Amino acid sequence: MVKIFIVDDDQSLQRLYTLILKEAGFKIVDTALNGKVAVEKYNNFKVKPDIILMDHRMPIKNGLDEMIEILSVNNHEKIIFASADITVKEEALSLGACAFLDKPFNIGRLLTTIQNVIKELVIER
Amino acid sequence: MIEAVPVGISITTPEGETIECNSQAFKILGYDSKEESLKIPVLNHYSNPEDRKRFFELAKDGVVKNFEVQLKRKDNTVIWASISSQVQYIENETYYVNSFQDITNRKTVEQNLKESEEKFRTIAEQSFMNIIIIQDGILKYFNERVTQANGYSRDEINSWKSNEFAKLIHPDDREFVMNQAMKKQAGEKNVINQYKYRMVRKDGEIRWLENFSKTIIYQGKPADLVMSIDIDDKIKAEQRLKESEKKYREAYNQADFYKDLFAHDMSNILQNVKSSIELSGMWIDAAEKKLEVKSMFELVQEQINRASSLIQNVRKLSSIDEKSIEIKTIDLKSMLNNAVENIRARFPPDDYIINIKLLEEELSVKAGDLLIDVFENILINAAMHNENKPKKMNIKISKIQDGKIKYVKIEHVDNGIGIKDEIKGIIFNRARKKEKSTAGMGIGLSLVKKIIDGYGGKIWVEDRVKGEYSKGSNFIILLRQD
Repeated sequence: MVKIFIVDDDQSLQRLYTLILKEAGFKIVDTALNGKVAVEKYNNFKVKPDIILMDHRMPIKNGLDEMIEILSVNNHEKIIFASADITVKEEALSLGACAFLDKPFNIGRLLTTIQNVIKELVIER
Repeated sequence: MIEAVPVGISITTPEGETIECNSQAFKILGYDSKEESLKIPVLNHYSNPEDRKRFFELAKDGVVKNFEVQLKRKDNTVIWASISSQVQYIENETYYVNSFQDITNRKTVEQNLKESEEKFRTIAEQSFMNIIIIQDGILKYFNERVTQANGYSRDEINSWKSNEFAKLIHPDDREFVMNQAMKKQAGEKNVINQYKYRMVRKDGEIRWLENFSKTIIYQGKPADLVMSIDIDDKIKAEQRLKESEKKYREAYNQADFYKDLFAHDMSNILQNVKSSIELSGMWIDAAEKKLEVKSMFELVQEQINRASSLIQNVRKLSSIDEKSIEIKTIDLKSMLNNAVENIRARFPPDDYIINIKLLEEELSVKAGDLLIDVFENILINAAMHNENKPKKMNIKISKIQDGKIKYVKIEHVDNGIGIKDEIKGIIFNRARKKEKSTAGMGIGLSLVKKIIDGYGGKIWVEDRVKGEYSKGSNFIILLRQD
């Protein structure tokens, strides 16, 4: 089962992503409310998640900074940005994000994006 | 011997006859020979016959020294001559032994110089500029405008010692201006001819001047010719323009910041609504999902409230920007209780525990109706940045005095994720683009800061446990006691 880690400072969005992704058959390994906590949790995962669904604008540490830290630990990590801040899309993709979902997006687009990333994962493995 | 001297020599009588002269004498007067010259009555050599009478007056003492007079040459051209004469008495007859020389060139130079100085003074006195000639640290010349500009009288300025004029220059500009003045008086070449500085008037008023100065030769020595103009109004207008530009830039940045935050927060709200509705649509026919569908509707309702609150905050921020904030007497306990009740209603009872430790006495503060928004925004922000279950908030109230002002201190102590030291100073004023990417505090705290500033209060944030930011924050508000 594909393991997903959700990082967003909006608690209700965390809950919705969890419901949607569980319904679609994915395993939610954990959630985090900001980039700092997310990096700490990531480093503590014994089994790393397959995909991280990540917001950008969060307190303490933003998504871009968080991604840089995570990719420095594991540069194969698949990170999907889900952010209302479209201005960072280009930078996020150039720094290693595998996809960028600009909020608000529908469930279909979220699931298609995840499926595409899973295909990449399969090819890589 | 008399032919050997380079001046004209003549012997004349009181009757106006020339008895003898040397060749220099007739040549100075334009005659071709001594004989021709001797035939001419002395009075005819004078351009102005009255000068002959002046000569006789001077000669009464027996000696005439350097009598400067205009003489007429043979061709009727006029020259300046300097005559010295000695009266000699020979056999009861009076004779004048004269020596004279042509001083036309010197007199022309002197006349030109005099006319030039007169022209300079005429222009200088009519000028709207302050004009000064400084030499040896003394103001050798200054026009009337200078006295009007600095407030000192002509006599006061004339009594100044060398370099005492330095007191006219603002202390911060003095070293530079005096250095330039010294260099120009010394005739040095490496100087700055145009600069601005502040003048200190006699009455202490400080005014900006623009100086145009250069080295000139005055009375045979280098001097500093200074022309300055009052640019105080211009400088102050420029400063006002800069302040105005800064204010409008800040307002623009602020508006841009609010717009950005509004768009960001609205996108998140719409994401919540969109996903909730889509999930509800997927589950609507599934009986076992009835509770989840219900919770989705509740979430939509919550997001609508959140959007409504966001819009209200933006409106309030705009209204504070547009007009001055209303200040009146507010019952602090009542308003704080209302705010706490409003926030408690938005969270399940065990999710967010808010305790208030009030003083027994009544507490009135100088504030306004927007104070409730301050408390609500702080309480909501604290909840948003808290991952604990339950989230905790302890509100403490005390009275303090800061100088002469008595305040009520309201502390909001939470067990949230805390705020790093480098962020503490900017969370209330985040209208700077570079800080947008690490947001999350939303419009709420900007509104809080504006309202508290408007009430003449203070707000800042500290660690709940000093030095350990991650153990939670303490938002502290001071409001003036009524």
